[in-house]
Order: sequence, then structure tokens, then C-alpha cells
Amino acid sequence: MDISVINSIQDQFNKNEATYLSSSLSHRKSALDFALLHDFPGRKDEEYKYTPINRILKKNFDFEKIVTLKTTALHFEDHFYKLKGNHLVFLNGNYLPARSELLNDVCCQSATDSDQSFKDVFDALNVAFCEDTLKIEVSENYRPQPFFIYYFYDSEQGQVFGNPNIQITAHSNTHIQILEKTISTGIHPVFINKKVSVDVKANAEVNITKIQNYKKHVFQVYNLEVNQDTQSKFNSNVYSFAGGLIRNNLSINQLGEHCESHMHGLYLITGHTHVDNHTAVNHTQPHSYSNELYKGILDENSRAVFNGKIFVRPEAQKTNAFQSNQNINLSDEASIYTKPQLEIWADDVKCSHGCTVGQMDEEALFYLRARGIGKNQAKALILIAFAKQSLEYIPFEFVKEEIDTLIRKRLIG
Amino acid sequence: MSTDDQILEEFTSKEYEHGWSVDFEADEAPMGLNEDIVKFISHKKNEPEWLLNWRLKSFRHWSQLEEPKWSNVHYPKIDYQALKYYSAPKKGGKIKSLDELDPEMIKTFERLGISLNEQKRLSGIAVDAVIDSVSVATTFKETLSELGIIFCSFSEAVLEHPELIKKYLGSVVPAADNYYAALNSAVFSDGSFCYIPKGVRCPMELSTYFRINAANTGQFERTLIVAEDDSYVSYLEGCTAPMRDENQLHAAVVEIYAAKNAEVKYSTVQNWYPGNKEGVGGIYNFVTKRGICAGDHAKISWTQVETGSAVTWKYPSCILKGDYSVGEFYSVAVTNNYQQADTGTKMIHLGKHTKSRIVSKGISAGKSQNSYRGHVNISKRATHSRNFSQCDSLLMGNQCGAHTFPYIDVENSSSQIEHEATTSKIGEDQIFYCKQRGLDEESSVALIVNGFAKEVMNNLPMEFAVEAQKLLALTLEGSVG
Repeated sequence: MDISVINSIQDQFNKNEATYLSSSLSHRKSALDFALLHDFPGRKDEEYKYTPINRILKKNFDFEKIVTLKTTALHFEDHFYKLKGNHLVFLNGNYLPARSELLNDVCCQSATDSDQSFKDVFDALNVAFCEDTLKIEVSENYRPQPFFIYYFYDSEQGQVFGNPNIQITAHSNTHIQILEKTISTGIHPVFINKKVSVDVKANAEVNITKIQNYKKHVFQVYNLEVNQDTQSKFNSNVYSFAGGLIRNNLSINQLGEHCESHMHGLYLITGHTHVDNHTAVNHTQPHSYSNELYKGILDENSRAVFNGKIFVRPEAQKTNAFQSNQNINLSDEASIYTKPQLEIWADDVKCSHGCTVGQMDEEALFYLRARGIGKNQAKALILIAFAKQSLEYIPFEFVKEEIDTLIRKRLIG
Repeated sequence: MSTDDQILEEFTSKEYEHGWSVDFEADEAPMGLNEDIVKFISHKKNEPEWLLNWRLKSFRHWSQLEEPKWSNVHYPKIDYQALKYYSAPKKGGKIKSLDELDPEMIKTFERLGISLNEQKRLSGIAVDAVIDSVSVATTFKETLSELGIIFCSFSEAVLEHPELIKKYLGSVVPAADNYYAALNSAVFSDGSFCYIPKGVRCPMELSTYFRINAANTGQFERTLIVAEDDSYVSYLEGCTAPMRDENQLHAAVVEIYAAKNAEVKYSTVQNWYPGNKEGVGGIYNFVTKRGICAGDHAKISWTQVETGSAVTWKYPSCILKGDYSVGEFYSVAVTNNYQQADTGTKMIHLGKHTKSRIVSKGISAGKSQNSYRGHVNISKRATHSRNFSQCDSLLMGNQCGAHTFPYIDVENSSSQIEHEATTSKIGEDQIFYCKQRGLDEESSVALIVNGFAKEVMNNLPMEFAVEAQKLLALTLEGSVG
């Protein structure tokens, strides 16, 4: 890191130090030391080869200008979905229990965790700066109401560095549905360094849906880590529409037999939006299953990066793993970098991956136009059909509709 | 024990067929690598000043580089000072006719199955054989020179056609390209040079045979193929090495230059010593191969059958610079025991309407690791380009690994790219089907494996296809058939 960046991060930490729990201080400090020793990754780093985050941050974000928010004009409740469930509010990365609406049948508590180790610089910064970790725990044999998590970012008064951290534990035989949404106001840049870890115990099911429709000065690194037990199921749906930088790291560890993981994604981007989806599924036990489908439509100067990794360890016999990444590129200025990667050490498995980059099917377009449909409408029709496949696995009807509207708005105008 | 396991047991007992060495009197450089060694090699070959300077520049650059670590292979650190960088069979030298060849050497070729005399008469393939580092014989030279084709050892070409060498050496693989290419540029001892003039269609397959004979030597040969406008050549390369316990190093560079409308077909059957079944010994095969389709409508096609080497690090690539140029890559990589292979290709699309096709079949058995690593790059200018890649892996046994690392970069909206990969094993039902029809287990597996690799085998020239098919069956003998 540049010495100026190190200094300003250190300054920010010192400023906040008084607000942190004294018990967490030593751990925070070691996290900070770790972070300051490591630079933000750039082109030389294999994982960030096409997303030189060091340059992007340097150009757009100034750690010196971070402000702590005093008041906000945001009306949180206005953005709540009109549905029964647990509505959790984060403001600039910090959990606000007083503003959240919880049904009292689940355990949501904030806690500081002190025995984490640090994976990378983002992880360490999250530990150092996260005010407190939100723990969601659902006890055995229970199906709670859905969780709606709203992340509000208000950068009206200055730059914002948000470090939300959530730990979700789904005990045996539970079924959790989570929807994450981000709402931002203000004109200053926002850097979100989010971390969510999910523990899916035996026979449990967790479903996370994320809608990422940010302002162009919002830069996000999202680390989602999942551990799955025997016969558990995990679904991830991610929909990216806009933002300065969206980097999603999804890592799934299948630790038990008969695990099932589904990953679906859609990126529909224009302008200078840069979306990077990195996923990794680690099959360690027999009879597991994973299925991945990411679709993308790129226009204008946007860039999309996809890297899907599937690891099948020697013990994970009879694993079925599928991976697919399909892209439509509408602009000569847009670029796609995709790398579907398989690493297999077991022989009795069925694994495949595929990826395509192409354009709209001219014949399909002709077919529609021959039937009297205008050019733009025909194009939109084809693209909508292409995009909608990724909506299948969203558990909430109204979210499907919301995303459908976003797609239509983007493609029809 | 299930039949699968039994078969695997049998498989591991297979020994290397080309494992024998012949005691030529060799003319060697002292061990180690420094500027004096580079000068020694250059001096031995009576090279002109400019080439020595080129070598020294490469050596200085190499000294500053670090060995690449990104590949998916693991091996003990190579001590570059414990190798000999030059080894020539003493009786080599200048030879006018085959009769002057050392009879021991002729025996070597006969054991390899490429009796020069026989080849000359029967198959009409021109062979340039390279033992250790020096090209020992080139057949059919006169027939070729009538057409204006130059096919000779590299050192001969340096002396006789310096203008061509000067023009094309390092034009596709620059001396500073990568660690092994830089090393090769500094110490390359010999290799083949091939020049096809404008409008000439080479009437026969050109072929080189490489063999590492002396102990503790590195083999650093350099092949340069230049195909002028509207020409065609098909080039074959085969490699073996005797059995030795220490690991030997092979770092070759192959450069292909294809001008407008030219077509070059390059086929390799690589059967270096893979080490014994405990993974001791074997060749480290770190090769840089690259071709450039410099003119419009040029075509370069790589076909490789990789069965040998303890460690393979090899990515035959195409730079598709000319509009409408075509690059192809067909590969079968077989690994057994403790072999490791990290191989694949790079297709760099620069010209408009360029096309590339990648078909890679990996077969892993024993405790081996087999990786495909590919890069398809469609630059902004390369509009209306097309790529199709297919990488299939076949796993035999549950201790081996098959990995795929495809990089796909697309920077324009009119190109179309498809990539697909599958991993599977030979199904019991498939074996059952064959056995029901009277085939024994061994031939059933041979049949299935051959079918799996067929798309690639079909692209080999006839003479090679037979050898490759035999080699494939041999390498996997008893594995699951």
C-alpha cells in the first residue's frame, strides 16, 4: 500500500478506536496490522487479474476523506418490502437494531468475534473496522419468516467505507430465505467491504438472493463464505445491474455427503460498470451436487469477469458438478473475461462446464421481424428471454417481478 | 479386488519401451552455465558474431528472470549449474552421405524404428535426426533443394543462410519471451530449420527425431519453420530418451512463420522417458512453441500426442495476425504413474474474421495429474472472429487428477466463442457392451480410448497416426485394458 493510504487507514482506525469494545481491540489491531502489510490486489494477482482493485480504489476512493455519519435523511421504512418477515437495517455498514423490525422468533444479536483468522486484506479490514458482527441463528426444526436485509449507504457528508459482517447459522432441519438489497444516497464515493458467512447444518436449506443496483460511485467487494453439512442445500441468486465496481466472491465448502448447491447469476450492465463474479465450490464428500449458471448481457463500456472454480476432492466420488457461463456482448467497447475452471481428483464423477460469448441470433431476430415486430422490440424480446432463465430460482414472487421490471426497463428503455 | 482395480494394478507394471542408451563418444561442455559456456557453444558451432551476441543478451536476460511458478506441476528445484549444456556425438560433424554415419548411431535409429535408410526408401519422409544436441543426418536433402526448400540442421542454416536466420530467429518467440525460451536462446545447440519458398507445396512430410542420450544433459533445440506465400508444409517431430534416474531437462523452442495463404501443419509425438513407476527420473519437458499467421488466409495447425515426460509444460500457440487466418490445436495428453502435464494452447486473435479450433483430450491414470490450460484472446480489432474449444478428460483410477483452466477474453461484439469441457471415466456399461460382443477387457478399453482420442488422431499424418495409436495403447497397457 502507498504510505499515504496506510496513514489514512491508520488515522481512521485511531479516530474510531474509542467506539470499539475494549475486548475486541487487540484482535482489531492485529487485523489492521495484517491489512497494512498487504497491498490491495492488482493485475499481478491471479484472482484479480482482470479486476485491478488497487488501481480502481486509488483512482476513485480516498481513505483520508472518510466521514462518520452523524444524521441521515433516509427514511428506512419507506424502502421496506410490504411483507411479513424480519427487516434488518444497516446504515453505512453498521447494524441498527433500533431501526430493524424483527419477529421475535429468531435470534439476531450483535457480537464481536475474536477468533477469526484473516484470509486477505479485505477480510482483515472488515475485522478491523466492522463495528459489530450481526449473528442470525435459527434453532432446529424451524422455518422462520424471510429475512430482508437492507444496506443503506448515505454519502451526503463525505466518503463512506462500510464493513458489514453477518454470520448466519441454520441449524438442522431449518429453512432460511434471505433477500439483500442495497440503497444508497449521496454524491461521494462509497467503498463496501462486506462479509457474510453462512453455516448450513444437516438437512437445512438456505437461500440468499442479492440485488445489486448501485450508483456509479459505489465500489463493492463482497465475500460470501458457505459451509455445508450433510444433506444440506444452499442457493445463491445474484442480480447485478449497475455500480462502479461489483466484485462477488462466493465460496462454498461442501463438508458432508449429499450436499446440494445452486448458484445463479445475471449481470445486465451498461456504462462503465465492472462486474466480477468469482465462485468456488469445494466438493469434499461423496454424492454431492452443484449447479451453476451465470448469464450476462453487456453494453456500452461495461466489463464482466467470471471465474468459476469446481474442486472435486479424491473422496468426493459420485459427484455431479455443472457450470455454465453465457454472455451476449452488444458493444464493441465492452469486454468479457471468463474462466470456467475444473480441478478434479476423483474418477467416478460427472463434471462439465461450458461457456459462450456471442451476439443475438440473427435468425431469431429475422423470424420476429418477419412477423411484424419492430427491431428494438424484437431485440428486447430475445434478450429478456435470455435473461429470464436466471430468475427461476428466486423464492419470492415479488422479487421476481421487481427484477423482471428492472430487466425490461434496461432493455426496452 | 474389482476388475477395474486389477487392471490398474497391471497397468502400473508397464515399463518404458525406449529405455536403453548407446555409448557414443560424446563431445561435451563442462557442467554449469555461465557466459563462457555460452561462448563455448557458439564457438563450437563456428557461429557468427551477431548470433553470439544474441545468445549473450538472452543469457543476461535469463539470469535476471525467475522460474515460473504458476503452472499446476510440482517438481524439485532444478539446479541449472548441475547440467551440461552441450553434448555432441563425437563422430557427428559434417556428413555427406548416410554411409559415413557412425554404425552405432544407425543402430540407435533402427531401435527407434526410424532406420534412416528404410525411411528414405519406403516412406519418402525426409528426416533430420537430433541426438543430444546435434543434428546428425538429414536425408532427402537434394530432392528438397530442387524445389528450393531448405531443410537442414539449425547450425548449418546459420552458416549457409544467415540472412534468413537473422530475419526470422526470435521473430515469433522473442529471446526474452519467458524463462525457458530465454534459456534456450542462450544455449540452444542445434535443431532444424525449414524454409518453403513462395508457391511451393512440399511434396513430402518433413520429420525430426530428437533423442537425449548422454546423462545429465539438457537438450535445447530450436526449430524454425518459415513458409512463404502460398506454400504448404507438414512437419513431424518425435522424441524419446533413454531411461535414467536423474531428471533430464528439455527446453526447446519452436517458431513457425506463415506468410499469406501459407499452411503449416506441425505434428508431434512426444515420448520422452516418463520416469519409472515410483516417479523417479524422467524428462522435464519445458517447451515454448508458437506460430504466427502473419499474412491473410494463413493457417497453422498443431497436433500433439503427449505420452512421455515426467513433467510437461507446453503450450503450442497461434498468433492470428492476418485477416481470415486460422489456428488449430489438437492434443491428446496421456499421463500415468507420477507424470504431470500442464499443457494447452493460446489463440491470440488479432486479425478480422480469424478462426481457431481447440480440441484437447486428456487421459490420466495412476497417480498422475493432467491439466489443460488455454487462453483464447479476441482483441478489439479481431471482429467477426470465431473460436471453438473442447476439452475432455478421461480419468482412470481414483488417484489421478484432471484439471481445466481455460481463459477466455473477448473485447468485441461480433465474435463468437464456445467452450465446453467434460470429465468422465470409462463406464462399466461401455466395457460390458464390448465384452458382450466378444472383445476382451483390454481391447475394449483400447477401443474406447482410441475412440475418445480419435478426433485428434485423425489429424495426424498417416505414418504418425499408426505410431501414435500404438503408443497410446502401450502407455495405457493394462490400465483399464
